[in-house]
Amino acid sequence: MLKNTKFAGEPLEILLVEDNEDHAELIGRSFEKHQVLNKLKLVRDGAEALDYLFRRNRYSDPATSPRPHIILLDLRLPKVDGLEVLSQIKESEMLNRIPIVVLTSSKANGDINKAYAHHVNSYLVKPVDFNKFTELMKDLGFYWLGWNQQSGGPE
Amino acid sequence: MKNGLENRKVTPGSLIKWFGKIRIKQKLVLIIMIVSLASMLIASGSFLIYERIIMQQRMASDLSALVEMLADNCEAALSFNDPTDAKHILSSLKAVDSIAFASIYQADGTVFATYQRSDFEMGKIPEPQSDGYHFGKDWLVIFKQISLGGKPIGTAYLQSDLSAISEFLRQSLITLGVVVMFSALFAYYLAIRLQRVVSTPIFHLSETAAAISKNRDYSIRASIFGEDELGVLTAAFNEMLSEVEKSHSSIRDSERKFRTLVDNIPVKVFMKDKESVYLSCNPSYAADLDISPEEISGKTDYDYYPVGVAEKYRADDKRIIESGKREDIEEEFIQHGRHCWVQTIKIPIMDDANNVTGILGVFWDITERKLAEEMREIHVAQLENQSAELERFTYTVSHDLRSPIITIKGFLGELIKDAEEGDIDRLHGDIKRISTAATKMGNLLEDLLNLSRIGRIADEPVDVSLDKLAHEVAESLHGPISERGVRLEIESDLPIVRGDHVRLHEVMQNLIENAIKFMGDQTRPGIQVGSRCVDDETIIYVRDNGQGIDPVYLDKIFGLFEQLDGKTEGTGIGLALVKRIIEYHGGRIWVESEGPECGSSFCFTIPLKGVS
Repeated sequence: MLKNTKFAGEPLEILLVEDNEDHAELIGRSFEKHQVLNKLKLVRDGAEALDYLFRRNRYSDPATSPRPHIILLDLRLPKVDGLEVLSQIKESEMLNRIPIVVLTSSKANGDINKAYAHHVNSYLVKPVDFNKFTELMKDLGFYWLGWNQQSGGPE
Repeated sequence: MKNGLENRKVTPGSLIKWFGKIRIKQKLVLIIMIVSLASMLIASGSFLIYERIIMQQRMASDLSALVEMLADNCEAALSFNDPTDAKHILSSLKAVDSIAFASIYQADGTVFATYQRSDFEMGKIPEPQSDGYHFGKDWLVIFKQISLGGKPIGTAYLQSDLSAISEFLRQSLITLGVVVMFSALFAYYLAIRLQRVVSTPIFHLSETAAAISKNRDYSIRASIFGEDELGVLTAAFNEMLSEVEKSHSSIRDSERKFRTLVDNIPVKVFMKDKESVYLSCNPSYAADLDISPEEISGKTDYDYYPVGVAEKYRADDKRIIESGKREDIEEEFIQHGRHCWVQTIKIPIMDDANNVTGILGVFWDITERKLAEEMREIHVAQLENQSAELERFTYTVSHDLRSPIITIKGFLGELIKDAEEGDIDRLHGDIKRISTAATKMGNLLEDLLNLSRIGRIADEPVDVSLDKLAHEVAESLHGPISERGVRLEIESDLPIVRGDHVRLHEVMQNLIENAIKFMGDQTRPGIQVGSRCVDDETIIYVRDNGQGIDPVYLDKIFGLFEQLDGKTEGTGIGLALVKRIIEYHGGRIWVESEGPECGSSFCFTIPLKGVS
């Protein structure tokens, strides 16, 4: 249904930071089902996400770590916490224009407030209901990857 | 000697000084004697002088009559120029003892006839003079002109000695002397008797004053004799005494109240001088020092406290003496060799001129308060810890319990799609995911329940042989151990500890299980359970040669639901549970690892058998 009209068929890079493999699978399938044209890159913890974005350790080669157009970030992550990942990205001149959508199972006010304090672009709670889950994934794809105007690289 | 002589020399100055020293009684007698003697002497002297004048006058008139008579008798002898007759007339003077010499002169002044007392030798006969008498030193002489028919024909001369007067005066003097002597004695007797009227009240007053100042007894009163000035003085003195007694008793009263207070308050009180030397203290403080309150006088803090403590007290004293300001100090104190805390107030003592003369100190034990404060801080910290943990718990529970539900519901939705599409492989995979998530959720609930029981439900502590315990755990983990090909070494001399057997089993099981789980790519996996002694503390460790832990995460891994590896199965509760069990037993747990692929050692301490 939704084509990537803006980038003329060029696939969008999505970085999914999610420690739960099952959830990652569900997100992946949802995107697939709604034909959100993309390349989904999954990293399993906060440290790996930072390595990927800052091109360190095994991601030091830029070919293995293309800049994502959007980051989907879980908050409870092994090793480095999601809020920490968020704050490091938003403090980086290089990365702070990438939209970050927090996608978590936490509805805690503290988390929501902290995430916005760290300039998160959107905060979404994973719905328990399957239909709502897929619906959200669809809308998320349409909104952030379709309607939303991305910052298009250098001015 | 010289001084003695000088002292004995009587000068007006020394006389006045001596008079000042003698007693009032003696003074009075002396004054009376001087006055009465002086008046007696003046009276006697006047009497004598008067008597003498009277006697002289009488003598002169007697002699005048005699010379008159002589002149008359010798008139014829002179007229007829008959010296023998004249001499005969003169010789009749023998009858008068006092006449020593007489002579008759002719008109031309030549001696016509003389008379001389037998015992008297006349020197040069005096020249005739005009009529009249005069007294010499020893003599009364008198001249008288002899006339016939108004014509002077010669002169008569008489010379009388004064022995009669002298004799009379001598006798009078003796008599007067005797009279004066007896009068003086009588006066002395009277003086002795009468001086008492004046001296007795004064003496009594002075005795009373001496007794009061000696015994400090202000209740004594002086007796009042009469209503004269001394009576007034004594009354005034008594009144003053009453005032003094009143104020003295009120001072003593207030002193007694103050004493009673200081002696009975449980607060310690002491006084020091400007040099920090103790002057006094109350019984409460003395009891602390195991001395009687009197003993403290003259002592210093160095006599009762270790040097460091004493120096601190001295420094405080000095500062307060210099500033003149009171201070409130919380400080350490040693009571019967026991360290405790006291609150001390030190106040500078000022004299009337506002100079600091010493220090008044009061202090009391605040150890209990301090301990309570410490306990409160510990409790507050514990509560803060617990509340933080609880917050984290509810947070993670809400997150981690939702996670498997999302998975289960999500894949249930997928199942329908799989069935519709006839994708049997995916259907099987999805069913497995659902089942795993359900199992995980079950485990999570069980672990959470388990975790919440620690500290609430506990078995009686028993002696637990860690050696035996480790072997039990090895037995129960036989499957995974042999599956992974792990070589498990259990040291034979592991200590016997005291604690909850079931919980300690859980600790050992979790640690060994973890070691197996995180063995990584190790081709020769090995686990050692042992103990070592460091600083009198026995440390038990579970060491492996597995994948190790990045030192950055060493503290994090004991947190609830913390997992360093998202792929690893498990609830993230295991190590949090172990930590809680160890801490509940009063031990500590930590992990040592050189880093990834270097293996790790989980170390913990726990009270040994027989140690409370």
